[in-house]
Amino acid sequence: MSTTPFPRRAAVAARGVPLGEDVVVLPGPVLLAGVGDGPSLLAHRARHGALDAADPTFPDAAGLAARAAKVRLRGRGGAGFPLAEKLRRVAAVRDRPGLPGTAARRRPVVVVNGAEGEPASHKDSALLRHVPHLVLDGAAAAAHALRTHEVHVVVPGERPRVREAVEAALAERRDRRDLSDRDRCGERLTWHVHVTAPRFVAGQETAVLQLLSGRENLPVTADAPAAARGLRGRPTLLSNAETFAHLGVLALHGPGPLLAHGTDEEPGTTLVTTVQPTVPGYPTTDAVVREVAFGTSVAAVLPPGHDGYTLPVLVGGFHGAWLPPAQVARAKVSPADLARRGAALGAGVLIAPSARTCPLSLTRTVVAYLAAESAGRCGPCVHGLPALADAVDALARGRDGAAEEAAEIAGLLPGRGACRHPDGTGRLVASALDALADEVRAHAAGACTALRGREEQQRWAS
Amino acid sequence: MGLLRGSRAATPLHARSQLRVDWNACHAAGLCHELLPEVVSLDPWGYPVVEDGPLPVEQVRDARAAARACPRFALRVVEAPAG
Repeated sequence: MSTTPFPRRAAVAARGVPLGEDVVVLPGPVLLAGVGDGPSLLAHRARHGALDAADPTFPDAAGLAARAAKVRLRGRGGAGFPLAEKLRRVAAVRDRPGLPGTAARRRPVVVVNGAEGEPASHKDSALLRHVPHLVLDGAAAAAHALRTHEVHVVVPGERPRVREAVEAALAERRDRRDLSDRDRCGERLTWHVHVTAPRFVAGQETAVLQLLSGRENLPVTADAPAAARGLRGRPTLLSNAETFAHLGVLALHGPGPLLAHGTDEEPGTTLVTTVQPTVPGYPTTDAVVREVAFGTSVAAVLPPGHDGYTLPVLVGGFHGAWLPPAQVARAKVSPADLARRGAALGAGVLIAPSARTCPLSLTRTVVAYLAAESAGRCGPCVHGLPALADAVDALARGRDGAAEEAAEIAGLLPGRGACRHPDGTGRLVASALDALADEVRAHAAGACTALRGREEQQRWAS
Repeated sequence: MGLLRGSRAATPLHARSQLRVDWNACHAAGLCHELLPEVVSLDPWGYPVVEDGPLPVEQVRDARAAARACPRFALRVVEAPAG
């Protein structure tokens, strides 16, 4: 048992690894098991063993899809699409006879999306900086399974250390002639690294495909899913970096390590970034990345000092939904449980303001940021988001009728853009009106519960 | 023949036609609303708000006309809801 690459639950050290810019990565049970080993290929191979496509037991597309289905792996970029289905679609387009285009035009492409445009999310950066080879093994396994050699890795422009880490990891694989880079016939994979424009919507699927095509890194309207018609019309397995890390575990070890965690309905683990804003105007300070089993209570992963019984939590990040305290106390890190409460895990961000930070003012800051981050192409977003930001500003200032105005504009946004930026921003505001109703009333009366919290703190201190 | 007609009536030819807007391309010219007021209304900034769900069969012809009239080629009638 001592040879298992994954620590037992109790053995996971609580000691974190600082990521710079006050982000801490805690060691975890599966994906983040190797965080303490350092990012080198040697450490990765020592823990996980080799990835050898020439091995007769190496999974083909159907085999890899079956493993992904077994752990019910869903995309971890926010949309939550089942990965097995995506893999099968890509393989089906590759194999379908009678489709226009030569076989070369239908050869799949693998794209690892590590763009992570949301400032509050750090999980993909954490993976690519601390366990890059797990993500790259997942991408290599997908490429071998889909019988292609073309792999793209997309890294965020605003986090240069992620790019450095990925390039160092790829150079290491090349220099050591790592077995994982070779297909069954010994042919090598070609890796391409792309850097996004530093903006919120740059990581959106169509925006990433635009970047890879040499066009501006902005979302466009897609006629077909990327799995059917993606990069240069080829079937494209584009998924989030964390999704590929899960694929890496599945390819290296099978479903066992993931099935050891979570619940029967939702097996496995997920990465969560918790953020505790303490400074007004800076909603992303003190981020912690951790790996938790599905079904863990949300209250258990909140930052120390956050009282989940009296304070709301923004679940799912800037495009997420506020949960009122009564819900936070019972909520679980589980897509099904959160859906029942009107929220979604999204990319796994939990923003938990302390008693001293007003959640309504925080919403105002975030909506103003999201309005400024519009790509500026789709009318409803270009006009609707600034109007929404103004309405939320009025709401925080306690102006009469601001809530109705905000609700009306938020209702105009869903489904009316090339990407989901307006949808997500509208969802955030709608949830704020609902879950922060007490705070909205307090502001309308010229008060603020966060101020009260601050006064109480001063009273205790004296 | 009668049987065939009956079965056709049960599943109208354009039952799954939908209007789709290319939001990048749309510049709020508003012709779609002029030509198809029952299906397309305009938001406060002049951009189309399309009724959810499939087009009513009697609107499909007008919808095609509206799609052809769009100066930005931003409106399309598609046969099945795209994923």
